[in-house]
Amino acid sequence: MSRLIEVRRLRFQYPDGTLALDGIDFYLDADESVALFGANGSGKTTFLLHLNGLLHGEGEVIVCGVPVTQNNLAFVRQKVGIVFQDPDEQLFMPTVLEDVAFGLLNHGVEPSRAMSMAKAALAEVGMESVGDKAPYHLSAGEKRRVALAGVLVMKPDILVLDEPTTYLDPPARKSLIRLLRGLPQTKIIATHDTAFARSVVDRAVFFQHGKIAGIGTVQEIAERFCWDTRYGTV
Amino acid sequence: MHHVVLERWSRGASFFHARDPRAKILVALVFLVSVATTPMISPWPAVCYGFVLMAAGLIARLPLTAMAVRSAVVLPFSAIFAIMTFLAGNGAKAAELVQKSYFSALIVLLLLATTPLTDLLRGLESVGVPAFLLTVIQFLYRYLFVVSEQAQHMRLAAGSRGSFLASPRRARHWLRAAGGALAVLFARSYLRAEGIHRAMLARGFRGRFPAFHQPRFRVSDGIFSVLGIALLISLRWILQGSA
Amino acid sequence: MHIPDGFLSMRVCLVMGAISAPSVTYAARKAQTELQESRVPLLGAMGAFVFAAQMVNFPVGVGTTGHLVGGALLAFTLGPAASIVIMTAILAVQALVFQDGGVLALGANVFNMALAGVLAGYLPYYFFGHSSRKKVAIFLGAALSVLTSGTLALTELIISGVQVPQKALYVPLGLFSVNAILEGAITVAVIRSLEAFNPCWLKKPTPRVGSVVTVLIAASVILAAGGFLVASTYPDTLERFIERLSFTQGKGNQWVAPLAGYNAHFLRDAWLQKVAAGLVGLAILYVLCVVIGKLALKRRRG
Repeated sequence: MSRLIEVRRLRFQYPDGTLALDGIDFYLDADESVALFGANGSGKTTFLLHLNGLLHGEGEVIVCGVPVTQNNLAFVRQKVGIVFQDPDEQLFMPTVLEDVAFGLLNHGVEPSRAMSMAKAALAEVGMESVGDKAPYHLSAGEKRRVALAGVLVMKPDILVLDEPTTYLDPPARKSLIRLLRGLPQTKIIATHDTAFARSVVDRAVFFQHGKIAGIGTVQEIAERFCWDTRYGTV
Repeated sequence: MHHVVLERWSRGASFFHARDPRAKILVALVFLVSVATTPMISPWPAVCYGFVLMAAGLIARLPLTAMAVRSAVVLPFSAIFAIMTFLAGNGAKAAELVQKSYFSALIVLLLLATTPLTDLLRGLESVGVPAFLLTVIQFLYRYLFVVSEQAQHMRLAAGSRGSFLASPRRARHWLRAAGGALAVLFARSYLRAEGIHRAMLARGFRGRFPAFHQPRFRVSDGIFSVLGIALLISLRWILQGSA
Repeated sequence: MHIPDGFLSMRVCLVMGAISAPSVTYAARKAQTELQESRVPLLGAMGAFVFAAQMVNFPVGVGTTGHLVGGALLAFTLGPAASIVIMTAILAVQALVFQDGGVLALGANVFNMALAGVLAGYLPYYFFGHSSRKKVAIFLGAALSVLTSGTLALTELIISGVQVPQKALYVPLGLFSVNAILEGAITVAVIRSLEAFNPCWLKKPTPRVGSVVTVLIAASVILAAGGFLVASTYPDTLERFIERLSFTQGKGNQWVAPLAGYNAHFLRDAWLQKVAAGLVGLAILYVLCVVIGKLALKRRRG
């Protein structure tokens, strides 16, 4: 079984000089799922942005056997679907249906077909009733699901979620867990919520100062780095 | 909020809702020009236009009182200039200003209450308005309410710290606070725009916005346009005679 | 000031529309090439920012409130082409969704606030923005932008037959001046904070000779002549304007009801003279800016 994602010696420095990633080695097989833990600013989001070519650093990033370069961004971006942290940034079209269909239309899918695929994707996440609504009217949980639908409709192989439980109340969080567990795609989830991670993925990776400081199961990493909010202070 | 109600109305179902946006824009423009050029010395024009608008509102299945009240937003401005014109001795012109501005506002409201803004923008694109400008409007509208909420929060925070200009010394402080608050709003909007851009690229955006569905101009739309324009022009002609 | 429908004569609406439409189209094309279509979200988001900022009323004390118009601020950060597009978008949304400003009058409102206001605001910055007098340039630009749009609006109204008696004319002019000063002060304060956050947000005014300067100078001439441009749609009035100006004060209170509707009308209103004088003053100010700017450029190069 080939590796879905392979990252070797990834290094990235922002224009203002901050070294965000300092030699990352990472791999992901199909049918695996992994959580990324780490403090804010440890490089998690920066790392994720390299997976679909939004950022380019030194080193190698290989997605589905293809190295990520300027020439194959369309391919990579169809394979890797990212659900960003702020759903307001992701839902930028005037209505929900148009937003979900956005990716398909960009890839040349015919409008009526795109519309029916978008409706199917919304049904998959339980949001079939809000197609005509403006994103502004949705709750945080609903926006999160619609954003997910917009990514799922592209049929990606890898699903990436950046802090998906932000702004969610407990019921919304629970239904997101149920939803994610039912999806077949390989998942990479950057999160602070260890209980959430435990329910959805098996492996975890710990980011620290732009490096990977530990790999193991969610439980192991949470204990090693005292990352579990259940265990009080220090 | 006003736009929320307008959104809801615009997604209703009626004869007008189902018409092509271009047909509605055309008829609305003719209506606006009619109203703007009608001499309103006698009360007849107001009666006739009021009747036409009421009939249109009923056909569109819209709440008439709510529409009438919302259009009244033009009245303060009109009233000021009407009063000045009245004081200048021209009461007729003063009344005309108020009537024309009010009816015009009703016509535009009727158009927007039967056509979702995005459909309207798409209709405008097909008649030659630059797509770039229309897409900017679309994004502006989408993010307007997010930013407005942030602005309101900031205003509350600023207000609770007392922003009345009591002395020249306070002026400087007040300006710095106002400047800072607006700069933060600017920064957040700018950063949000970068986030949106990233999200667009992540889903394959290649530089041109894709067309979702093109409204089709059907025979019924053609008939509607012709009849509507004919009706309005005849009315205008009759009213010219009554002046 | 957003002019509603029913105030301006059709002739004014058509002339202003005929000027605004191609100008905005040109600015849109320019902004598109400068910024690429993928920058649409930036313009939209910043438009939302200005729109929202306009709605926030800052209490200035004594029962009045002030608020930012923002045309100049946009010009200083995103450049004049983008600002023209953004301000037009704002005016369109205000007219269509909020019935703030008319649809037929959109051409005039766009000319006043999105074109003249933005260009007037940018002009001092373009010439002095790089110097040590940057804050003055910013203040002047912002104030000028508000003054220009307000005065143009007033002129259009008067020419369309809306009468403003003598004593009342000072009220809007006074309000414009107060708003102009407020706009200048707030814009300077915002720019200062922005520079502290991220200096690259402020557009660097690098005067380049050639087409840009020519366009700007042409624009300033158009701005100054704005009121006269509209007046010249009534050719007979232009000579009488000049006549009026030469016989200055002492005309007393006069107002004559103009003929409404289609017929060309002439206002024997002595107060129109004051408005015209205001516009001439603005024109002189622009010409001064341009002349001084060109001299400064020559000195630097020489």
